Amino acid sequence: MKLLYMQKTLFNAVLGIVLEIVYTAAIMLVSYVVCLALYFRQWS
Amino acid sequence: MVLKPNLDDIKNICFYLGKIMLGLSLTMLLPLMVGVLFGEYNAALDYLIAGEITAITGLLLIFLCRNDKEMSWMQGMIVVSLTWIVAMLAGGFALYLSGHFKSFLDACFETMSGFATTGLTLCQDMDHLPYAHQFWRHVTMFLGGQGIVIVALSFFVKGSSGAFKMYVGEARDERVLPNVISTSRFIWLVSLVYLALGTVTLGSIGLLNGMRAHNAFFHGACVFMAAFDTGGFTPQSQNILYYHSFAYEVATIVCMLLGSINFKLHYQVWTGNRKELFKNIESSALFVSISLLFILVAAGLERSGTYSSAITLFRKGFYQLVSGHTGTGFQTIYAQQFVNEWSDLSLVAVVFAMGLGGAICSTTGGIKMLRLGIIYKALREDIKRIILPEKAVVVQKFHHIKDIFLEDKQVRSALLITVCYFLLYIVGALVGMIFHYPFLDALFESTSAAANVGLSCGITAPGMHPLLKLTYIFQMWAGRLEFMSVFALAGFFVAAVKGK
Repeated sequence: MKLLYMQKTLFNAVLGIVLEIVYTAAIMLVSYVVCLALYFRQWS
Repeated sequence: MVLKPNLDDIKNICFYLGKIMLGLSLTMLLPLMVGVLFGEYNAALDYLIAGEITAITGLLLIFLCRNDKEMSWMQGMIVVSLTWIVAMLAGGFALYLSGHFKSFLDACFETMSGFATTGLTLCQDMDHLPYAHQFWRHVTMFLGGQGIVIVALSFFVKGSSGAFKMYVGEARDERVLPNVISTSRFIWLVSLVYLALGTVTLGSIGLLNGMRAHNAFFHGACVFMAAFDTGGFTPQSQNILYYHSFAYEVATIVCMLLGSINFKLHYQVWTGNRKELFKNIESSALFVSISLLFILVAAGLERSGTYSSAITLFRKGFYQLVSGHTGTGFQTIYAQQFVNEWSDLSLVAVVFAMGLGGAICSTTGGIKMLRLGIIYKALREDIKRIILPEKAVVVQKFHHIKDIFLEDKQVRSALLITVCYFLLYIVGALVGMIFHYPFLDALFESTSAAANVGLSCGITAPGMHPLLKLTYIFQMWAGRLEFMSVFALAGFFVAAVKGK
């Protein structure tokens, strides 16, 4: 039972870390799209 | 009527200060061990001397002022503000012995910059600084990011009543767990888990880029400590530019953003409440704020034609913006390029980003996202009151871990701290202007110091006027403690002179 609880805790923590990294990646992606949009406007 | 502090007040303050000094002296064992490991015996001796002096002073204070009295709020705040000054002097002494600083003031500036997670540096010939001193510079950031008092709380302070007063005094007004000592330990857990992951990631990138194994992982650990604790020191004078690596830049952006997230939010996300990351007012505000400010930065840089491709604009513009917004201070451009190559629009956007900062109860400085969110919600409430019929009931709420109804006292507190920050930014800029720096440059450097960022447009240098150094030290200290403890210390001295 204790092992099961520990596994669940660990699973939640790992998933949490992955989600936080995805959040930072989303911020980067939005800004990169802004860069692309600016330069696309320049080329067109 | 103001009451004059009595001997018991002073004894209680000194007793807790002694405990924290003892804790601080133990942290000096880390650079000492690094010195021994790398065969730098002179540098190791510097930490032996500084650590011994700090430990003996701490023990003397504990034995001379031992008492069982409960700590008051005022005493807790004063202990915190004095702790940061004592830590600056003790840590600065060790750095001064390295011979890489022009004066003791410069070494103190460096240590305050480290503890306050600012990242402005006055170190000379940094590229040849011994590993032990490099490690200490980065450890100060790691300790300061968590909070020096939290370090002591986790290991030395028994009983949570006095602990909570010091915890609040160190600008942490939120508890992750019901018990403040458990909260401190959770903060350490998050930091250490990410330290392991970050060191391995950055070290591996360094290895792939051709660095030697021990150097790659030493740099990885140092850069991670500075990135996650939103500090900004690096082991090289060229800062992140030294690595010339896109992967290194992306990895440090992730670390910086993770460091600017509230520890309470980390707890929620790590314990299964994953939706909180998207609902929380702070994470949403940070997302929106970075995106909007980046549009300004990018527009400014595109119009000035500074960078010729989208990827270069992203690598230079976005990196400096995130570094400023999270309060880290890593740079991938030279300080002078801010002034000579960046347009005023981009510079102003970075100044705004620095001033705003990250989340409350994180390692960042500045006004912080929760306060920004509260002010925005209050503004919306007032506008609604004007637009809607007089009899309409206007209720505004925001989500921060749970739904919270907006109250006047929250708005008042958020506005007060925001005004204090703005005043601190402006006062620093005025002092800079007295020394003949242009307004925007002076404002940039002042905001960087007061919001504990560390980006520099070139003003911070060993040759700068001592008064300006003292101003920036004060700004870093007051900004990191979010004013209350500083006001308490000032109040204590006023009471000592004018009290009855």
